[in-house]
Amino acid sequence: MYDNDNNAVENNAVEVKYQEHLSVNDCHIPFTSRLIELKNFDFHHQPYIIRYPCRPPFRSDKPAGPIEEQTGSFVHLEELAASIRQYGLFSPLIVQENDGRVFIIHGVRRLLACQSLGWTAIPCQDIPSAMDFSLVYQFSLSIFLSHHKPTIMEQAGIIQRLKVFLAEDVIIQDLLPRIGLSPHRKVFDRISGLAELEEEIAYDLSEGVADPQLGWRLLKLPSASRLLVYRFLRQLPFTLSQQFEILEYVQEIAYRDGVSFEELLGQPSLREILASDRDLRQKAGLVRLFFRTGRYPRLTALEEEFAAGKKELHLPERLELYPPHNFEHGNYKFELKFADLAELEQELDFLNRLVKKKNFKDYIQS
Amino acid sequence: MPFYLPEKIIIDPKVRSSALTENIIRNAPSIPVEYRRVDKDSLNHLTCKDLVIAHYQGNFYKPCPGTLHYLCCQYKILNIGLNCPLACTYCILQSYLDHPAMVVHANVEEMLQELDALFSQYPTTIFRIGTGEFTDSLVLDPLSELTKVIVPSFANQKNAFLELKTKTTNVHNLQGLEHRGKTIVAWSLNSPRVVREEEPGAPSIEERLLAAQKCQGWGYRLAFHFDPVIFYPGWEEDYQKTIELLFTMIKPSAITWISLGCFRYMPKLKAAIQEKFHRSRIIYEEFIQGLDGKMRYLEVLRQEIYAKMAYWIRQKAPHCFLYLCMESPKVWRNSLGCAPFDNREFQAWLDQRCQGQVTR
Repeated sequence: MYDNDNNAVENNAVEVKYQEHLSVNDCHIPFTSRLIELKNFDFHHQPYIIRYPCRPPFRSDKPAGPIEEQTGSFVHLEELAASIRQYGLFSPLIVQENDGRVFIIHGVRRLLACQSLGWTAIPCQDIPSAMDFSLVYQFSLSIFLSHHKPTIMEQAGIIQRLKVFLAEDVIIQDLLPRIGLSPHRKVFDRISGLAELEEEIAYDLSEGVADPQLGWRLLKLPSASRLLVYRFLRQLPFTLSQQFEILEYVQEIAYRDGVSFEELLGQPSLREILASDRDLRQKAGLVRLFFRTGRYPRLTALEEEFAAGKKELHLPERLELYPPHNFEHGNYKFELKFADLAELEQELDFLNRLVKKKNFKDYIQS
Repeated sequence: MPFYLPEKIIIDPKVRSSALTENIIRNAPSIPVEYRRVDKDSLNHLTCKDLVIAHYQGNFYKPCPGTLHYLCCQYKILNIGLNCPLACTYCILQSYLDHPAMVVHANVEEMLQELDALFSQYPTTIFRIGTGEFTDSLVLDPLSELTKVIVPSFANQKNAFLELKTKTTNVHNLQGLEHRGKTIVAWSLNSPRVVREEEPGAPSIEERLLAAQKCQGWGYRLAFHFDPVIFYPGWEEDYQKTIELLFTMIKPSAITWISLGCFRYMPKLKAAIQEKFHRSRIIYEEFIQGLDGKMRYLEVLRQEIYAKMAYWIRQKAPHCFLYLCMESPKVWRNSLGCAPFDNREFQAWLDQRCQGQVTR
């Protein structure tokens, strides 16, 4: 048993049966068991860690922290530390030491727990430094997949990493099904694309705060504006379809008018809406209207004109008049509600009188 | 002048010895040739630099896919090939065809037999047929020399007219052909800015009109299509320039008709334009979904556009026959001042115009 007295550990090579992955089928990975000092761990660069997010919940005012601060996704760390204190560390970390820097393959939580207990060295199974990065990464992936079902951002990260050393067709055919995806090029492109999203958006995606479909749409924006647009959308309670709608308006107005997203989202009238005393839902409604009017100025003007004319007709409450769809030639529509025959007769009388009125004829003919 | 030359020619062994195949090989002697049958799947792996000479198995003759909600001139299509290398940003073929390869149908004899049979079966019907629906009518003509066969063939028909619609200047083969007024050579026209920005692979308006002038000189009847008319700030001045140039170079009496059609597209074309033509802004104008499902400018805007275009054209050519493509009677009335009662009447107007009986 290992403890914080850092008792010496006998070096021995242990054989690990490596399973599953095609390119490393039946590969036995040798390692040396030994104590490694914590100061030798590279806390800033850990290429084999697959878990995402692997840092505290993102805060815009704070850059991504070193691994010792990476507690965000490692819940129950105190419980693990308490267990190690009471019973000791049963499984050593799997690591690879290279040029004096130690990279973790498996056991980040244990590392953090032991660190919190004040250990200065930790028992590790050290894989030879000569072993190829791609093989070690796939080994790490194999262990990860035996414990976890990857989230969408983890899937994106895995694909991005594997693209460096595996052919895309191999990833599509062999890897995608292993990480829970269909083996299709389209899936490959869409999921791996998410890895290009900014940290803040990626974090929200992995936490389920943002929808992947929004992520894919945001990817079509210039990267410099993506975060700005995302933060704008996040500040009001839009539904997903409303987010899509506003995103499309913003994009198309910007392209049409040749203005930047910054200019568009920083317009004084828009800032006024956001700064007003209205509740969030009202603000969301006004923001949608603001962009719709900007995108469809003629259509919204026609709608306003139609609504103003309709007001002049003084229709009874239970009678509603609709214009032809999109003001394209076609049918006007009356919707008539009645509780009984008497009410129906009343409304039909009203309609008969209405169709003879000049202002109604003008209204319809215009 | 854009003269399309493929990088590879793929010939279906069935049409290895057709006259059209021989023409193409003779006119493009340096282009590598493969003999193999190209099925639907393998078409997807080709590009517009691949010219497929195919044996077409379906009916060459088809009605124009008009819609119920707008007036259609009942044009008929002769399917001579698929796709176009001019790469206009707004081209409907991007959403209509599912492959980018250039295809030409080489079993021309069968095509002409099909037409002969049709024309004789309905001797009192006027057939107004165009080849410019799924491809540009003349873009491959320097290679295929199809016009040398098809124009004389129509010249011999009593009840059929051929319209060749193009943006190219490939009229060389039309010279000296016996056409007897049965072939109308038509150009798609646009504003200089639209030509520059949205039709980068096509000749300028001046070049097109010079080609039209040649055809006028060879006695052909001409037609012009302002389709798509694209709205943008300053469109009026630009389109007036084109109209001015048109009537400077072409006699109104040579023009059988001029059509007008505002830019419209199936919704899925938007994504294709966004993907292929990042710089194009035409899809960011204000569109609504029309009754046929296509995205269109608002009706009031279309009316305004057509009315202005008609006014400018009629200032130059008061008796010019104008028609609208795929518009409602309401839009016709509000812009041109009249409207056909239905598709049949619309068709009759154009048929009679072909026969030289109608002036409006």
